[in-house]
Amino acid sequence: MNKHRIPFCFGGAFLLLVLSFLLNMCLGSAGISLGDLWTAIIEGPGSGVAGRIFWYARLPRTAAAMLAGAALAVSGAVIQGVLTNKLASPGIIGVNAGAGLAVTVCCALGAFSGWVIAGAAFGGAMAAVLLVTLTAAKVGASRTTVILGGVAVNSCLNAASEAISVLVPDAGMQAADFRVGGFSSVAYTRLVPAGVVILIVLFVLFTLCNELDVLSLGEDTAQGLGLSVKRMRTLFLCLAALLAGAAVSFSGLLGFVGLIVPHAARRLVTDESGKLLPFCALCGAGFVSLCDLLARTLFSPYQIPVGIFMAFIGGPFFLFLLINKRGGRQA
Amino acid sequence: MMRISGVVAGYGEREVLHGVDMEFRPGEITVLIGPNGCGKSTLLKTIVGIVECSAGEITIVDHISGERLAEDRKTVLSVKALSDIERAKRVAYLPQSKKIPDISAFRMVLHGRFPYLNYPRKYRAEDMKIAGEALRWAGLEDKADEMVSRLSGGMQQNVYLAMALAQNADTILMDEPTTYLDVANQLRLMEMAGRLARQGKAVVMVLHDLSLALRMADRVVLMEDGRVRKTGTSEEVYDSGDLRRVFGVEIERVKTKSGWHYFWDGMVGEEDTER
Repeated sequence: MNKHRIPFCFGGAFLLLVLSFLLNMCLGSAGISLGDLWTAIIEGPGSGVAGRIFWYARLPRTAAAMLAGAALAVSGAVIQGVLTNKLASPGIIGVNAGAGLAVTVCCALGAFSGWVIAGAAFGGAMAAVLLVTLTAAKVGASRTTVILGGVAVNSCLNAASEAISVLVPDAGMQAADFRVGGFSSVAYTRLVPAGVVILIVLFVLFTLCNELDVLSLGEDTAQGLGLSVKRMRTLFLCLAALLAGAAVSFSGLLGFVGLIVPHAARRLVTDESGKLLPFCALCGAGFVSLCDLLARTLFSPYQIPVGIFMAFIGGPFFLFLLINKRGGRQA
Repeated sequence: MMRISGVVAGYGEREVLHGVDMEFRPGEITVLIGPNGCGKSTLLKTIVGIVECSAGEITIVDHISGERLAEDRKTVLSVKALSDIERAKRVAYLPQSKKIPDISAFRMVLHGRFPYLNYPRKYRAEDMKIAGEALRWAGLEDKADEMVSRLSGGMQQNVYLAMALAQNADTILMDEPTTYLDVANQLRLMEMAGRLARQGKAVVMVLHDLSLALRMADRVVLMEDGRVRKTGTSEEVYDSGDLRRVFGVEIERVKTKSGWHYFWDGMVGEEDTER
């Protein structure tokens, strides 16, 4: 293993994030030069058109993309570690299905305001995850019961969403925006509370890296090392759900990041959580914000849903990693 | 010293251990043998709290961290009453099924110090030192930075053993540690287990290879159907004839330079199993 690879990866991810931030600020339907950007940052929102665009449009949108990316990627990494299943993602424990159903119900009841949708998404996600984890905890919280419970809860909730969409077509249309996901309607009022939750949970998770590593050695080994497996597994799932639920509350259902970013990150910086989680946060933030940049500028004035870009860029990149690593392993 | 008395345990409704008594003594390798499903692995899992113990007692005489207390000041602790962390300081456990994560060998061994983590949940310099020593003990100091997933099966097993050593527990439980290892690695592992015993640890293993078990054990516990059938040295267990009856195979032994060697020699004849 090349000793300089990991610092190099971190440096690269950080540069990517900074670059993404600058591009996101400067590019768009109205171009802002770096000089104008600097003036806007220093003088606040009152400093003319550039200032207003920066503070009220591009900054919240980019911050939202970065927060959601970081939260979903770390959440996915934690869930994969806890369930020792590299195909797991926040979706598997019910986050997306729960949020989707709650939002569809709200739309059917005629409550479309941003706050209500955000609250419903977060509440729905948490309720679904609680249902999955509590059911699993009841029968011993084994990895398989969590996954199977998740699959069962997911299919029930998705069926309910679809039933509502058929019965109340307007609700289906309203909820479709949420289901596709994106950052075009983000506002500080919804971003700030979710952002605070995300930052706090990220901090807590960064202090629990050794627990997560021990847990991913398998439940028997972890128990032998003195980790209370059932309790910690449930705790980690809840923390991961908080992250993903908070992200989904303002971004809608972005399913792809939580699976692919952690998986790619593992290949670059190993499974060691102390490195993996921060790296996932950097990469997730950079990846989603870059995709959002493309989504809003490439076919301007039309905006393409960001999820589509994530799949177009992430999918091939992931295939590249698979092929590349295979060769490296055998060398 | 760990003492197990009248332990009853199982999975939900299904009781696997129906009252088991045995002792694991410091400085000895105790080998648990018995047919599949007799409860060997379940016993180890019960000790570390993976399987619930519904009756009986598991006690250890405590002298933690190598500071041996005077004989009259030794405390007897109930393992069941200990928290997971406190138990892990006294009992190390290597399960049969192991995950091989993509982390460095050193990091893996360092997790042996997990029970000693305090606020702020970071390993200290002392933990690093102990982990380094454990790696050297296992002959893996040059592999410290290698990913465990890239080591050979034998080395991976040694990394796990080094992790158990770093855990600094007086009792080390190993569930079929020789599975998937080639002959040389099996012998290397048994040699390392012997060194652990000579350091004063109580080493306990479940083994399926009867000849290896009988040759290496200081004490053999023969189990059948969730009960202990026979306990003693290899010779005593062999002489009792219980091996033949429990396993249903003929066991022979020959004397060599290095002591008795045991080998199985075909199924017991049909008229014999009738009895």
